[in-house]
Amino acid sequence: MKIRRNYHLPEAQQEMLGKAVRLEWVTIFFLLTITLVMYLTMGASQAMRTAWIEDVLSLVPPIAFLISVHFRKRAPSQRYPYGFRRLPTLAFLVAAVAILTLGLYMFYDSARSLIGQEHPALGQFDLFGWYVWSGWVMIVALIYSMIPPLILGHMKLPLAKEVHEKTLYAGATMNKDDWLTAGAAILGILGIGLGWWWADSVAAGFISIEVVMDGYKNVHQAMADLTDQRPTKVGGNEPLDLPDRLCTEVR
Amino acid sequence: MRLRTTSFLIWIVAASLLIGGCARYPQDPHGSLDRALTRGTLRVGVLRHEPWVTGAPPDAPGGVEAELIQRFAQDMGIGVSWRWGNSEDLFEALEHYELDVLIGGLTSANPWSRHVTMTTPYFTNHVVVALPPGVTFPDGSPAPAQTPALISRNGGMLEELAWLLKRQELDGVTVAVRPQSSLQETLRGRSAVVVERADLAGADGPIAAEGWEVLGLGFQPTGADLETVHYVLAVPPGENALLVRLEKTLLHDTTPAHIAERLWEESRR
Repeated sequence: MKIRRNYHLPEAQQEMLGKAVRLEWVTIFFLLTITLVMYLTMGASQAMRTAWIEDVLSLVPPIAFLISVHFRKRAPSQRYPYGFRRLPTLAFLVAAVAILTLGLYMFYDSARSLIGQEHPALGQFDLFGWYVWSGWVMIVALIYSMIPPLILGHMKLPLAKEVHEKTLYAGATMNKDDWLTAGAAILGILGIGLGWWWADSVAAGFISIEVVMDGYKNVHQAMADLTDQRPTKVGGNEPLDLPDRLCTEVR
Repeated sequence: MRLRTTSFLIWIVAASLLIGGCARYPQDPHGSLDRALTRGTLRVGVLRHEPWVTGAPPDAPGGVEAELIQRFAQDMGIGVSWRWGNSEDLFEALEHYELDVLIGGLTSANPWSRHVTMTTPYFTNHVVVALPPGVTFPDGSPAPAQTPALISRNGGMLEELAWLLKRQELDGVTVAVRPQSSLQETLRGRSAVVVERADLAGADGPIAAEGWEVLGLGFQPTGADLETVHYVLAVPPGENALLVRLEKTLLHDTTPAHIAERLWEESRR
């Protein structure tokens, strides 16, 4: 079979891709610190555990993106004459399925604890010798978990559109929407403090629904891509107007 | 989007300050603390477990945990009503909000922790192999000059690591232990030779004893850490106001050293 030549992005886009890759590494670093901080403070709160899982999940798109970028650079071979340009889409599908499945599990878990009338216990937290209500520590951890993803998400979004990377876009959207997750968990914890034992499970349920929606949207998108749907714009189902523009230019 | 997020954050912080500043925070879903204050009595379930809880019905219990409860009730200006019973009855009563606190040398490993709320551990004890003063191991090696703390307050991972680093092998070492002690199994698992001895104080070789016992006897602890036990009290599920108030007494008004002393005194009776 004839081995195709590898595709290379134009100069400007290549530079943006480089910037995106760097930002994804930074994202992974911050997500790891957030995961650690939240793990140390999460205690018995269902909402916080769900928010923690969601933060761990948001590591999936950046990792998938970095792997696919790495493999795409490889030149086509005898075995893979078309090169590895399908890889990003595959990575995207894997990421989306992981997110959807875990979101469903999280929803099941919060429903179970709500139905089982589980009353979360939030006692004193040992902060290096000082004792403070664990709810406050959790809220501080959650506020910290809001900030880096928000900033990074906003930085990556325009880049994703420019280089037409759906995995990057999905990850950036997840980061940007992280504030909703953290906000819901904070409200859940404040609710427990007010004596509403159900506030925690309800907040967890809300977060998990958000994750399921994220997962579903992305699975749908990835499936459409793999079945060779007509090209769409990044972050939506609108058809790419490239064919029309091409016709106009040529005429 | 930025503006919405910022205003949301500000709202959250304001709400937190407002809530945190007013009345009692956190609150009990079932109002256990308020009811106890109104009632003027704290309903305490009692499980006999020497030297943590001593005595027998119908007398009021003695021991370290009974004293802690007395102090707790005194701080709040209310009395105590004791209810002796067996484990299952008392835990079920606690789960259904018919009791306020349960004492009985409970540990964090207790399976009822899924049904009721356990306080944060107020005393962590390491069960170790110790040597009488001036005695060495059969192979001639003396007890280490320094071991990690035998007693502490909820040491956590760093403490476990410290003990792991000082680990002492027990292959073939003869260790004296109390008759019918659960430690016999643990020791045999570490290939030690077990010998039963009722009075550990008079031993002339290695013994296996609770951390506070080793301190009281003045024996030298070795790096052979057999067990780590975290002691807690139990309150009804999710009653956070009561939990926080109780933990305040447990954590601020006592120290592990003081508790170890009391346990040693109580065990000598």
